[in-house]
Amino acid sequence: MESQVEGGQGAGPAEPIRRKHAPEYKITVASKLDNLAKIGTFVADTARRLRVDDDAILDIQIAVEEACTNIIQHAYASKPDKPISVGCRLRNQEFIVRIRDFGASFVPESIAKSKLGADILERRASGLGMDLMKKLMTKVKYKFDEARGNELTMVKKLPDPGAPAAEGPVGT
Amino acid sequence: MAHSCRQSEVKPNIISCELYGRVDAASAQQLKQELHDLFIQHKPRLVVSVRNLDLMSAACIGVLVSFHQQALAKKGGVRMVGVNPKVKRVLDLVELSKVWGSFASEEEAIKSFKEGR
Repeated sequence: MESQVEGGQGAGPAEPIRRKHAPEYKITVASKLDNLAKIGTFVADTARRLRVDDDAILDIQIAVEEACTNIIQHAYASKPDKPISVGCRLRNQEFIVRIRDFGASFVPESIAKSKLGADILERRASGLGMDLMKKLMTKVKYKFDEARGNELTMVKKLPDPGAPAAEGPVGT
Repeated sequence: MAHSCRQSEVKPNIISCELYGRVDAASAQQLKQELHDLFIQHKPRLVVSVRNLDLMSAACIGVLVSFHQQALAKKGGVRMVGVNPKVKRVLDLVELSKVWGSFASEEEAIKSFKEGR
């Protein structure tokens, strides 16, 4: 399947879909790892358009790409032609990303912990994506529904624009 | 291609690898294969330059963790050169900054192997 950006043409942020509270920008792509860059670019461009700062954009982009990697490799078992939809919106100084798929659901708590902080020999080489998502985003919430698909909502709380600039985690 | 790995010209048991742009789950698979091929040629010391790396994924970190674990058995390991703020952000979160270090040059990183750090 080709990627689709709702409300316009091309891979960049299209005109938003007007919803009740805040407009949502959305892209739908096929479940291929080669599409991760397209998803990441879409999310970063959308956040930039909504005037999110560069440090937060990097955090959001990494978290979304990790989530989509998990969907492709685990929910869809690397089948390359399944849909992944990513919607972004800004509401009350929160950047909200909603990712939907129709693959196998899972219990997040069942994912083995990657043992952050343990001796390097005891560390797991997998499972780091979930750790990154939780650390980079303010909230990570899964909802599984057989009929409507799986929905992952991630929220990044943004600094108050009126507050004095604080030292960010990443220099630009 | 988001990486370029080669055998060090001056130190035969050192692999120098430059990561640039983005190493996501797709490109990490290629990196894994390349490092595996180099590792079985008995080169257990890996110096990774990340100066021009914009996005380091969990898959990329997983490949390096796996290499490091295998290399330790042969007195090798992984060292990082040119850690930029974007890479540092991720490595700090997964608590690997101190494990892999942050060296200003490839020479310094290679020297750290000799010193047993």
